[in-house]
Amino acid sequence: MSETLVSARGLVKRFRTRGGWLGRSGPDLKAVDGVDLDVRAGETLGLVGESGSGKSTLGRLLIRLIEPDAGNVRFEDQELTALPAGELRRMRRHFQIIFQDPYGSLNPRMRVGSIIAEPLTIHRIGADRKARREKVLELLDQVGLEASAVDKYPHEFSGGQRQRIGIARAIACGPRFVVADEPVSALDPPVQAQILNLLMDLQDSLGLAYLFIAHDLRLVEHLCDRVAVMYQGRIVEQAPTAELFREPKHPYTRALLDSTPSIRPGEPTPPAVEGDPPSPTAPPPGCRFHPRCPVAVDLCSEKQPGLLPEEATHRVACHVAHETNSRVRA
Amino acid sequence: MIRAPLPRNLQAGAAILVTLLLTALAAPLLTGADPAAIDIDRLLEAPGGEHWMGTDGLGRDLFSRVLHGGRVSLQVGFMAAGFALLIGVPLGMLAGYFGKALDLAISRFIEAVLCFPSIVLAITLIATSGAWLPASDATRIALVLGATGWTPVARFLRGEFMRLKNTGVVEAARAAGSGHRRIMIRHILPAALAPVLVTTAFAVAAAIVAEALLSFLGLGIGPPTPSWGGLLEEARSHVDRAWWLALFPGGMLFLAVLACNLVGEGIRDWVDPT
Repeated sequence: MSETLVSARGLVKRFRTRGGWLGRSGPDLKAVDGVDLDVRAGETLGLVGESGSGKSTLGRLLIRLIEPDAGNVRFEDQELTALPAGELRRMRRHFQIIFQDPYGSLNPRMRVGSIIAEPLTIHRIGADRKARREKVLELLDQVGLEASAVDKYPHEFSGGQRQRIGIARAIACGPRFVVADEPVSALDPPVQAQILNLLMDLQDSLGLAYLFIAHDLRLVEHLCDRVAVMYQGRIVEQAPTAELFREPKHPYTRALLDSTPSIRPGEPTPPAVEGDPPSPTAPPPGCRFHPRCPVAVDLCSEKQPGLLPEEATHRVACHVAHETNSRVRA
Repeated sequence: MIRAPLPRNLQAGAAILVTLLLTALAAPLLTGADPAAIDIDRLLEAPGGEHWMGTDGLGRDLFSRVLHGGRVSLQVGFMAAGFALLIGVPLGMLAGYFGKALDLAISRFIEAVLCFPSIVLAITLIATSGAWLPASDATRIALVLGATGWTPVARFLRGEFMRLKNTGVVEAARAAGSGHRRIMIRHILPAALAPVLVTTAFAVAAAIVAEALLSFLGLGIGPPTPSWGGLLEEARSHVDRAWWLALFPGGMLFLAVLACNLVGEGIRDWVDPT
């Protein structure tokens, strides 16, 4: 098994909600509420959850694009959360992000060549302008864009091509870890497949590790080595992909798998889970999922389950599953 | 991005403004008359063949004085707007981008400056600055007008930076490793530039009017150098007999301010057609 590249412990991120009166802030929203997560070198870890589950926030915390309220993140042997701003900036060449929105994340006033060259300039990669331009052309070729793209503006490209530009920028300075934040969810299905193939090819040739964020389990099945399922700011289950799909242990994961949309067109997708998600500012006591859970017992509304067993490859945060596990072992 | 045809008001404003600037620059070529040459025999002559804007109470050629006055008035207007940008842009950027304590400090400072009626502040500064500010009259007035007129620029940029610092472009720049300076100058300022130009155009108009007012009060550029405000002041004592003395400088002032405002509105329509 390869070494751990990124390692998060006890991550918490709260957001102030507004809506209080006379500028008073409302209750805190815990977007990420005590998450431990490891990403190994060269692997693809899928992070799946409904919108609002905190998966994008978690992705940004791992590369310290936002500051955690508690917990820490290590990248190799550096504690990212303890780095001063200047050193963090210099470290950023090692971990990058591909954004969901290929429209909002590219500066409309910059030419594609400058957009892709920017990380090179910042991190002083390449001897001079000419060397950097060579590198940009190489990157364009790597992501499947014409060399003529250099002098064009982002608005001259389609969504899929823009996403390729974003990918070229992300890999420009040779990162080892890339957060892919729903990189294809804004694209049409045929384009989605192309972009996913590109991401996989790049992983093979560059040895990248991905945190692949998605709201669709189907997408991660063929892409990821391991999958973590997130619900309401916490990871509820984490396992090697094949095992998770074969033997999901958390009732929420099971519900997600059951709701995987039919391939036949026109057939409506069944709702993932019965009932409404709980209010994020006032989560239910105990297990966050128990009000919607088909197998909940009394304990579930009293005590929050841990993600167990600690050292196993397949971990689940569910009292009922823990009970079954220990009975099987006994 | 925007390749729409230039709006009419921008075309018209720019045409007037360019004409005014050219006539001001080329004043010595357009008129042979010395704006300061006194001719006792031809006092308060009505517009006619030789002096086609007439003459003033000392027999000086008004056409020549109006053109030369334009040099001073426009120069002060543009310089003052430049100084206002020089102070207002950095302060607004910093306040909007960093927020928190810095924003609080800068915002309170802006409010403190706003509390003084700016023209009274400008009068006080001009009356006292001659002693310690070693600069020509025009520069000194432009500096004072800039120092009292930068607050709208700062407030505007603060708002733009507060809005734009939360966009995907800025997040992407941060992820790439950009520092604050790079983010502010390369990624936010260009997006705020068109509205800044709009503000600048209005600031030029305001400064031209302010200079005229100061000169009218006798605090501007001193005689014999003509400026539009100074010419209006001179017209005051003859206004019952010599209408042309007030009409021509007043008309030029009106045209200059109109042109600046048209340009400002025009740029706004151009970049934001809604």
